[in-house]
Amino acid sequence: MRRCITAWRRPARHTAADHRQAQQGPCGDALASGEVKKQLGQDGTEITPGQRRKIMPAFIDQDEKKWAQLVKASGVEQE
Amino acid sequence: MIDNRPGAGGTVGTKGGGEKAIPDGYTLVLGYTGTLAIGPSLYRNAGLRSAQGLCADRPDRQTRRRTRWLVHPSFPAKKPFAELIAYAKANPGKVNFGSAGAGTVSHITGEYFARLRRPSQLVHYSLQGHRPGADRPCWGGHIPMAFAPIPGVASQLSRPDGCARARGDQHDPLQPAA
Repeated sequence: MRRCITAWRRPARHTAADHRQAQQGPCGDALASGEVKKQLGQDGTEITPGQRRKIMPAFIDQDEKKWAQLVKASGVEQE
Repeated sequence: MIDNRPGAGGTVGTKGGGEKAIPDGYTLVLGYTGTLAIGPSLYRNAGLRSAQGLCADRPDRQTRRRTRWLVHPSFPAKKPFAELIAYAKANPGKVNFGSAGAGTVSHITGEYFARLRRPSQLVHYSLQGHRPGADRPCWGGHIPMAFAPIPGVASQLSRPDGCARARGDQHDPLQPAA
């Protein structure tokens, strides 16, 4: 059986009250710039700014549950 | 302004940026699997919770999934990988593996791998992240192998001596053609 462990990385913009305002703020502008996209792209990071705040938490929660099983199986203990 | 806060596989920086920053759109936290998905399983207070303060857009496109690669440059290139595993089993506790740090994807992957190959008993050696130069102990032969993402080892994988090898299940865009 082949096993494959993958990982993801993403920039998480910290916006508690108004996601939309922050999305259009300076961080959003920076992420949308070609220079930043190019620089992060060299590391394999793809930026596609958008506004779907309900999707990402569910996505991370799903991965958190998956990795909780892997952490338990690895034997690494909580600190 | 970049405020690097290393420690605990990135959890220190994520906690600092995610919890203490004013949500005005001027602070950006670069999170990844280790800090957002693994951290809650390892630390009682990992900091930024996944359901708070995150903007999202098509995680299947916005995030890039990467396969962990096992690199073992100091092991003779012509020998099959199974011999490395056999050697680890025959010498429990004597074979180290490197990772980006405690609680990172590469650390959990290595420990999980060691459990799968029981009783290989690999010993974890924490490198200083995957920044350039952090993996020198691996390429210098001080530790026999490491679990690493392609961006951190891509330049070494194309070494002409062929001693740097990697194994993974998926092709990565940054992976050398050879």
